[in-house]
Amino acid sequence: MRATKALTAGLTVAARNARLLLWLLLGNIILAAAAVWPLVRPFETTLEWHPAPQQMASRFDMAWWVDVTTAHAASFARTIEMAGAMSFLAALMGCFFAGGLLQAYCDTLEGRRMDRFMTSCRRWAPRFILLFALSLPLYWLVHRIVNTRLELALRDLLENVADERMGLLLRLIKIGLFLALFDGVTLAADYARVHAIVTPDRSMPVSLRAGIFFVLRHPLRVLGLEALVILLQVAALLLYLPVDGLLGRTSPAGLIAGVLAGQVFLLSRLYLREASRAGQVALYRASLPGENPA
Amino acid sequence: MHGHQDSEAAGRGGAARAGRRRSRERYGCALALALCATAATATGAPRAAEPLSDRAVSYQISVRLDPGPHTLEGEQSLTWRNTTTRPADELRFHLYLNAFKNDRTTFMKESGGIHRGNRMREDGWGWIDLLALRRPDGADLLPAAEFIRPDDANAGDETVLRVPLAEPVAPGATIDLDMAFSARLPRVFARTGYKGNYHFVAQWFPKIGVLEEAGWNCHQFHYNSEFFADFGTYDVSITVPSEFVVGATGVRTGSPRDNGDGTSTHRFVQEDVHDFAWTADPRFVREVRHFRYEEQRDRGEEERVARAMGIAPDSEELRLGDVEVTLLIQPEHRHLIERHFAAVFHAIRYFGTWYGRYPYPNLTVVDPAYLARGSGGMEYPTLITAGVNYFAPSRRQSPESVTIHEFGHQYWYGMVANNEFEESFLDEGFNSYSEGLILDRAYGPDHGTIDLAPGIPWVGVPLMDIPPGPDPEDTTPRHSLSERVVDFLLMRPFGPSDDLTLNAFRDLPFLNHVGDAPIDQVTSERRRYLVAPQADVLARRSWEYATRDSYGLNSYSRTALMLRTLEGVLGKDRMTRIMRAYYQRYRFRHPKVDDFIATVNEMAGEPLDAFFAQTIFGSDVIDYAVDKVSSKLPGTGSGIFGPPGARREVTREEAEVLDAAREEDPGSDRENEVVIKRLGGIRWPQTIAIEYADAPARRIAWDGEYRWMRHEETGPRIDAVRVDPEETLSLDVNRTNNVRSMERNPLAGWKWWSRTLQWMQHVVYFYSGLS
Repeated sequence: MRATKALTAGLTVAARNARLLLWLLLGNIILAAAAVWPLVRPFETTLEWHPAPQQMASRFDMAWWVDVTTAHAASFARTIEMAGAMSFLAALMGCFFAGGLLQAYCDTLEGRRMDRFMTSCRRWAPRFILLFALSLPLYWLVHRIVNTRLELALRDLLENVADERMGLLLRLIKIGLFLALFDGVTLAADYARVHAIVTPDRSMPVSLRAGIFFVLRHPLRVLGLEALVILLQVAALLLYLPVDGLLGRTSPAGLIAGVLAGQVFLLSRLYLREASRAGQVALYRASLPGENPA
Repeated sequence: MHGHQDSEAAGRGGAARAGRRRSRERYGCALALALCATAATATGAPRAAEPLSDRAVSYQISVRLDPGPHTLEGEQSLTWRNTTTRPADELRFHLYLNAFKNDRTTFMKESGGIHRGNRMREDGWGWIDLLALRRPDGADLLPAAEFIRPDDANAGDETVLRVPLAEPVAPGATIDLDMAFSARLPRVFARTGYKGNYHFVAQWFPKIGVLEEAGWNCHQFHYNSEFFADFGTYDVSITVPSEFVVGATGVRTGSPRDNGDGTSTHRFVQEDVHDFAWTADPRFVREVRHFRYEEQRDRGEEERVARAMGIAPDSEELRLGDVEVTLLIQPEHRHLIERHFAAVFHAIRYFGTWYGRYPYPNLTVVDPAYLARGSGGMEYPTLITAGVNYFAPSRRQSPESVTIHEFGHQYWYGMVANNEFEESFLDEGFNSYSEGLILDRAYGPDHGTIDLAPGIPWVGVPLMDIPPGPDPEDTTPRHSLSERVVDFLLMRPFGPSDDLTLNAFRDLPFLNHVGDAPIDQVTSERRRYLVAPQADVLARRSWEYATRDSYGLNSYSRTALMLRTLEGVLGKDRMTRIMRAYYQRYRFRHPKVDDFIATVNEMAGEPLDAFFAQTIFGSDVIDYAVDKVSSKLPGTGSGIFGPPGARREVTREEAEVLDAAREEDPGSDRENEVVIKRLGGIRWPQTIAIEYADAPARRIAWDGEYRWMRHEETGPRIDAVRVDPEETLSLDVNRTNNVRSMERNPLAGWKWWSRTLQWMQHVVYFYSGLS
């Protein structure tokens, strides 16, 4: 199955299960709001009695920002810590929902009625948390290889580079390599989850190995699907940015509209990511012997 | 006069010695190094009509650079004059390059091998050896010389050499010395050194300390300090491979001399300076422009200064000289040549107009090589180093900011030559203040901002400034377990939180961009200052600040803000008079902070000791806040009113109706109450502006002494109250509490919180996708 076909299938399947996105959005809002809740008071205290509220809303005031971050440093420190904690919970949340979502996509592709979503989530969550833990050493390995070993080698190499442009190019290549390997690990974990859902294998180490091999055996299809989704995400962003600029959030109606538009944009990103997941399921199923592409 | 005669005598003696050729038998070198052939007057090198400074030293140095091993071989003739009233029974020298000899030196122990974010490479050590130290009569002073550690008793530090003298140098007398030295430059990370064929050579020769009445002022080389030396003359001949382009302090004398062995010798001479630095790199592109006063003058600003000074606008005092500016720039930065020159010309113009003419005919600006930015952002007499990236959006004011700042040091440090070890704020902070004024005037008050507080990368980092990621050479023990968990979760092991690599990938910062987020100069300084405003007293010896950050914020930002505050208090014209008087009075001298304070008190016409006692010699902060504002109608009241026979009763309901009707009447007088609190320790008179809905604003004064003040009045409805309405007190640590409106409007607060929420939602989106 080609990447474009997988994407088409993914978009269709994700659309048919669109209501599940609301769970993701709800979880996202709760975690994000918890992280930045400590900042409500500092923002209120410093802005709600300002004599020029319109001006302060329409233009980001660096002078205000410098003062609020220092005068309320404790609140910002708490937010950073909460951001760390919520990021961890977000990863666990992803583990929780992944099973239910993938099962739903699989069922839809096979023309079956979806099993109970939350039941599937609960059933798969422990295994996918284990899978996430197994993938962490791979991320760490990528970091060590690129950001330590390669970085040290690059520094030695750059001692002999006089032109900044060459140095910049070499650094960009290193960063690109890091992003590619990082994404590669994420893709391997993605396909490991798909393998676990689609095949009878229940062993997470076996699934992870299968995911790695799948990525290595079908790089063009895997990367093609990934690239198409990224392009769609960029397109969504390009559509959103001017809308966001127009809304401005400088009036109560504008604020509400801006927040809603932001949620619509996030929802679109969630939809595209789930379409990618559904496409991964279609791609993986098509590669299995005896399977017909959906 | 006395100083002038001694200088001439030193010059004539120098000419005699310089005629001798010295062989290099010790090193088996076939070629002998030639000393400077003659003194400046004999060769026709330019010489000032009259000394500008008390020239206590005269150096004649010949040095040869071997770019392969990055070594220097030098010979130096030094004439030193005892300018004190006591005999000198010893001499002390700085051997700064020994700071990079090993990890036991004071500099390396204090810095941990990192300076301004640049890390020393393991194979990048440097050193200097004094090989010979003789008097002209042959007396060998070297055997008795010893390293001393006047600051910290660190036996591993060899940056100060004490040389006992059998015969003391009497007050006013001179001593001549012939010296030879050998040095290896470090791989540059802290101002001086090499990278590839690029060599920036600073603090490279045995430099005599400063003898004051209280004794020798010759500190060890510290991480948090710069330099201090006497004024004098320098005549330096530099031999390098012929393909190298050379720049140096001073005026180039003659053409480079081809030595016939693949090397050329370049000679530079400069009087009335207290240091000499030079650079050589075969890749330099050399561009020369001329600052011509008549083409570059700002007549409007000249008129303002003339009014402030009470002189005629066409007064000779305001006239500036022409300056030849040489730019040595990396080839890949050619597209930034004009921006460098524009910045330098702004600096020459405004420093000259405000404080006094730049007295030298020349200036060299050096653009450091790639990955040699450790040598950038530094100042030496008539030579400065800037530093810029290939991608340099003009809103970031790079290279403008650093170029203007480093030129400014020609004034604050170069000519008004404070002791940078002991009072670093007198040059860094003064210069930051002046730099900010020039950036305001030349480029407008706002420039672009790129990143916000660490950890909350709203705006992200632009492509052109890609940081190297986490430092794999950093072996510092990490934090507690909880901090390491947070570090991990925020992907800090994969990069610092402001690393473009992961932030762009994770946060889509341009998604949450706040658009154009301009930042003015005062806010730029406050960003730094507010990190730790009470960590130290401002006036502190540079190596005694609690941390490098404290050194930076106190020496630079807090001092600049203190001067801005003083300007706000005194007014721009008085401040102009003060700064000009301080410069004119103390140029080519070594002032201390008390000299500045005395100048301020005199020129301001009022004693400001209380201001300086709190801002320079204290560690408290200024923070005045509007604590309460109320503006209520006096109630009608309910009950029985009136005298016997004319009593009337007003019920509560009737009173409420009457009050509601009066509320609609804008002309009704109200009972107004304003409470201002002093939250900081610094006490300073305050102006409070009360703005009314339907009446002109009024101002009230408060001495700011007690912890709070209450103002009550009957009058129109208050709209808003502001303390320090003109924002003259740049040192105020929290300006968000300086203003309060009667109308509550949560819109702005919710808007920015919703932006923050949206950013965090995309962070959560990213992490939920990993699983």
